[in-house]
Amino acid sequence: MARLPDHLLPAAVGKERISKQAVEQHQRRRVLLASTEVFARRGYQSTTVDQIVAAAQIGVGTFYGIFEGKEDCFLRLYDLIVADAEERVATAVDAEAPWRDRVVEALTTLLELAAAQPDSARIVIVEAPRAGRAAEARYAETVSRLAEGLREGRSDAAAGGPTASFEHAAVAGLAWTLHQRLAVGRPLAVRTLLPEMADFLVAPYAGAGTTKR
Amino acid sequence: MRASRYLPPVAKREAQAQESPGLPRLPPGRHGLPRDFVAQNQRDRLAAGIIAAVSEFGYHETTITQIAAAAGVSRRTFYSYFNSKEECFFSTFDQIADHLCEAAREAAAGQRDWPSQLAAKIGAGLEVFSANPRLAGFTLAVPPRAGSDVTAHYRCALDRALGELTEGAPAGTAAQTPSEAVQQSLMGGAASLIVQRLESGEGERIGDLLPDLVELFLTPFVGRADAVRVANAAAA
Repeated sequence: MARLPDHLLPAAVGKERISKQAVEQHQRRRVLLASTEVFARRGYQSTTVDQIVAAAQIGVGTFYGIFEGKEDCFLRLYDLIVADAEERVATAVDAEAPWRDRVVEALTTLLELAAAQPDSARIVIVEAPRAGRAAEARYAETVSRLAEGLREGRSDAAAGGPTASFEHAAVAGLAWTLHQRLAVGRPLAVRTLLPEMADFLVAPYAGAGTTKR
Repeated sequence: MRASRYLPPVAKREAQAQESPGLPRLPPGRHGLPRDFVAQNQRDRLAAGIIAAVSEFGYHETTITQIAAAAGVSRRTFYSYFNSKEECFFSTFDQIADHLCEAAREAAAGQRDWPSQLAAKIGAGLEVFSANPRLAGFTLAVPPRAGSDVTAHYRCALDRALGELTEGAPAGTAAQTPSEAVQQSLMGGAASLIVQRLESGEGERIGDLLPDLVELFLTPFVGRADAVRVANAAAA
């Protein structure tokens, strides 16, 4: 998880007045971090606001002052995790590098992050698809954004690319492979997964002609 | 149904049954059918009932009352077969899985090499799904969105389907045998493509996915060139 914004740090230890907005933002983040474990362990459907409140050590009233309810809390948590992951990918990937290297670098970043923070990965991959329509829609959007990134490989592939449906299948497939492991608490063996999945994602763009049907 | 009033009673009942999501109703009253047959029939109707109810209301929201209503049986009858919604779901899901496996094996029986067998199996599955998009949704779209037990059941089923599809796959010939992770990705990716079609309202056109799925699946096993060749042959 990313560290607190800098403006919060000196204020928290010093004597300067902290703005109401900053306190709220700080509190929101604290509740979201605490709710990660609750949602990941219990699953979205079985999680209650009471459990989140207990984990975050705040009052129910405070919770409802920050969030509209359980779903709102989950959606903001989802957005936070995805934004953090995106930031890490953007930092790790050299925008000037060839497409293949960028894909491998992004995959490395995401797999390592998922392995280091399995609860967060579980929220995105296992829980979001079954946390109601809004969460499902966000998940679908994440998948299609990643597929879009992969699709850039088509302009790179001199000899054409795979079938038009490949990118969606590849991203959804990768997510399913991670789902299988995260759902049962099996650790992600990044060292083995990485070369296998990298090859799965990029190999269809290399040669053998365009598929036209 | 303009002509329905001229139909003889039995045919009329069948026509009504066609409109309802369930299977044809048994004639009411004393029909002298053996008890086993009635049981089988009610079980089948409950299967059709849960498929219809879940596709309309979603898994979490579906109640036993709705399943029974869609099946055209009483709640009491429901409870004489199943203790819970989950149990009814699992039973129906497994019945569909068995049916899919059987259809796949039948289709592959006439093919001589594994790539053509795989294409025939995928084709058979797609045919079952496109003939009944609601059943496809029940099998592929509902479980990942349901509770953890249902999702766990679904994970096992996809692994079983994977075993069925890769049976007889060449071990390390043209290309190397893809890893477990890659094979799972193939399965998950294929399922997701089917669900995507279903949800964009193109359920009847699921069959069009055949060449794409064949190429997707075969590429890691036999290399892209052969995969494209078999996929094109399957599309023809």
